[in-house]
Amino acid sequence: MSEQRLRAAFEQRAARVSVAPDALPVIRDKVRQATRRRRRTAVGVGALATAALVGLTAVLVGLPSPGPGPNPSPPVGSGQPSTVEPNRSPSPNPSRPGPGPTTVTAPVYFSGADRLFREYLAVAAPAPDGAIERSIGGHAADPDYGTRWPSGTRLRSTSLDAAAGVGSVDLTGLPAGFTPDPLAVQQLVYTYTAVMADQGTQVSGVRVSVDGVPVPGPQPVPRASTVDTLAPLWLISPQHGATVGTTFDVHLAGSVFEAASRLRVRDAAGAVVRDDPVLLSAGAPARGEAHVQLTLAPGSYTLEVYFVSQRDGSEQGLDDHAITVS
Amino acid sequence: LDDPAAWSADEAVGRLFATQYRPLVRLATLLLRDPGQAEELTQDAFVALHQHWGRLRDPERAVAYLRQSVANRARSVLRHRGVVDRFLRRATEPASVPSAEAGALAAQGDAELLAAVRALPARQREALVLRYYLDLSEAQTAEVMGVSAGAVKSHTSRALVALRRELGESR
Repeated sequence: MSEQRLRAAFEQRAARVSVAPDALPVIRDKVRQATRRRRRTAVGVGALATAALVGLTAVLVGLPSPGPGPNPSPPVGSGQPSTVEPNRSPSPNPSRPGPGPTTVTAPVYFSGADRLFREYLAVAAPAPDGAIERSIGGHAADPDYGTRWPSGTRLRSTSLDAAAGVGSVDLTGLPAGFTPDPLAVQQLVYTYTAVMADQGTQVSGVRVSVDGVPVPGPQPVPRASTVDTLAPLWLISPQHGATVGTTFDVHLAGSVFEAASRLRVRDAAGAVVRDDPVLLSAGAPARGEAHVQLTLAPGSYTLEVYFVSQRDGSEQGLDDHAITVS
Repeated sequence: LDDPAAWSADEAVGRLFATQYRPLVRLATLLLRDPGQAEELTQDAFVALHQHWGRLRDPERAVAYLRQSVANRARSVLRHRGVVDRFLRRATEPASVPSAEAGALAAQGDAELLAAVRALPARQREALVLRYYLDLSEAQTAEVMGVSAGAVKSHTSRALVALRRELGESR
């Protein structure tokens, strides 16, 4: 094996490489996006400082409602709604899926295909209650997500034993003899702990009870392992029903073998516009994530994230969101 | 009048794209085991160039920066894919079917060599590609790889030994 042969082999291989004809516009687009993102970050930092100053006031007087629909940005500086209790009446209003007069943005977990998905939603303050109500009602932005709790289930109260790091969620309105399955319980455990974590409070477990009777038992239930509990892939943003500009960021997360996921775009007629591999930041069993920029002509589309089974080549873990590009 | 130092970042990207995009995609293809990401990675290198043009202001330094950026990105892609590639390499090891034609044998020899290069550790492959594809000097290769010239020398010689052994064994 001579160096000459190596040079020739590289040369021949390189000569077979073809490049996309439209690469320069693609780069220009990416530059624009990166510049915009940097500016947004700069603005975001300023906003965060402001939010820190006015956070508590904002909760008291009511945050500007981001609406019940898509709101991909996680909450920042949303204060400690549970200490403010502007809305805490003896009977919360569980039938309202939309934001009440005072809303906060909170993470809410829903069930779908025997796993959990998360959305950031505007929920009635205080956040743990509003988010739990939203979760048990299954009022997700994405109609593919739902709840493992029977209809009629309502939240009685939540409470926090801060010293023990344990939360409690008491429900009512369940059919006699109903036993929640583990995923139903995890819907509440993940939602409660996520809301509290966003508020800076670490909660290690949640006691769930129905009319004061603990289910499945008196011991607080910790979060079950993400691999067994969360859907293998989440299309985090845009959320279902979102309207985005022609160039936008797709945020996905998941735990898939070799971090290899795919993103497919279908137009209004269902035709595949593009279907690209997306490498997440980490492979299973870790949960990785990725941001992908897409540029699409105005119209209605469905974004689909999925992965290909190593075993039989089938598509797995589909999470799809209908969006509008305008 | 065409002073590169006076180019705007947009202009620099356009100029360098015209001469460097294809060679850089080729470089990325040789560095990666899976050529699928070569273009995306190269495009990202140009985006990074746009952000750093203010500090570079020099086409020669910009080309070095682009190569370095492509090599770094390829390395990070490979790190992510390390486990998989080891798995795939085992799974796709070609059966030793004797070929009937001399022409096919020559083509096979090439594929065999490239497969052996792909199987090398990332740093060794990087050193070979930079030295023998781009024809960079040891010092230039060291700069792109962010290592010493001595390290380049040892990566290169280890790679050549490994290739000779690999090809000798399969002959």
